[in-house]
Amino acid sequence: MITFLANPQRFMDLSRWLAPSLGVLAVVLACVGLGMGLNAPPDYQQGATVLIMFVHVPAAWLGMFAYACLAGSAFFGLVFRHSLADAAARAAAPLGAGFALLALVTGSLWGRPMWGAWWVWDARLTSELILFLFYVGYLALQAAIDDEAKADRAASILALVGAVNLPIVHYSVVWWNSLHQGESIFVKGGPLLSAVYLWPLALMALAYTFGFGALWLTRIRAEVWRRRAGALAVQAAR
Amino acid sequence: MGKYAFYVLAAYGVSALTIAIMVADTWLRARRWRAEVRRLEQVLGKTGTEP
Repeated sequence: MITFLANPQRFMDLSRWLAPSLGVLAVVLACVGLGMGLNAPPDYQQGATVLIMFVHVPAAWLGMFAYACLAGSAFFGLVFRHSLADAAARAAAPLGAGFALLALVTGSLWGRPMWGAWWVWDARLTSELILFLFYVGYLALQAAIDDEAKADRAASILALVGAVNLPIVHYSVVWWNSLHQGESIFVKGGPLLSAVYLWPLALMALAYTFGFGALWLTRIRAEVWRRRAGALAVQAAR
Repeated sequence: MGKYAFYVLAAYGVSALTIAIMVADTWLRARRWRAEVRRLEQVLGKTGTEP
């Protein structure tokens, strides 16, 4: 699959129809998920703040998923020196940063009424903040080095180092005493969430994932065009 | 939503705004570079190979 997509022309042919298809699917799933979610009854403990879950959890999930895509692309870029892998890494970073920031902000808006604080130096929150800072570091490093090949290489190494943080974010609520809610979906014996919350959450998570897919593919296409424009500009200048 | 309306609406508003910015930035970026490739291909007299 990766070898198949490594051909830029083949990737452009595939992403031409796949990106808008994923985008349409994301909008449909988000409409259904939000329709179900906003009609869910208030939680007996958290009241209406439970509705924040439908935008907070998918954003947090995407913040991590996008980083896995970034680190995977960075690995292939470093090992195989393939320009499409570097383009994929560059394209994933700003989207992942956006989702990680969204997870932090919506989490803060959920934490204030439930915990009485906008922010606590809890293991989950701190590791999520570190994830966001790795995104910022990746983007800053890319922007700081003029030579694109060197920038890709340096930023890819940073992205791979940051991948160590992914299991820490995920297991932080297991490894440390945390104010943040523990694992409640993928647990032994089935999800701890009621079906009235679980279904809209699953739909919203899928909507965010497909939406990310659509945006990522479109940004990779834009990156391919940008590099092609650079090559053509050199030819035109001769 | 009662007394929590501010927090819920703010969370949904921030999410909508952030996603809208990501969509707009992605779309404008793609449009800009595709147009640039087409312009340079015309200058060089090449036929477009990009879909």
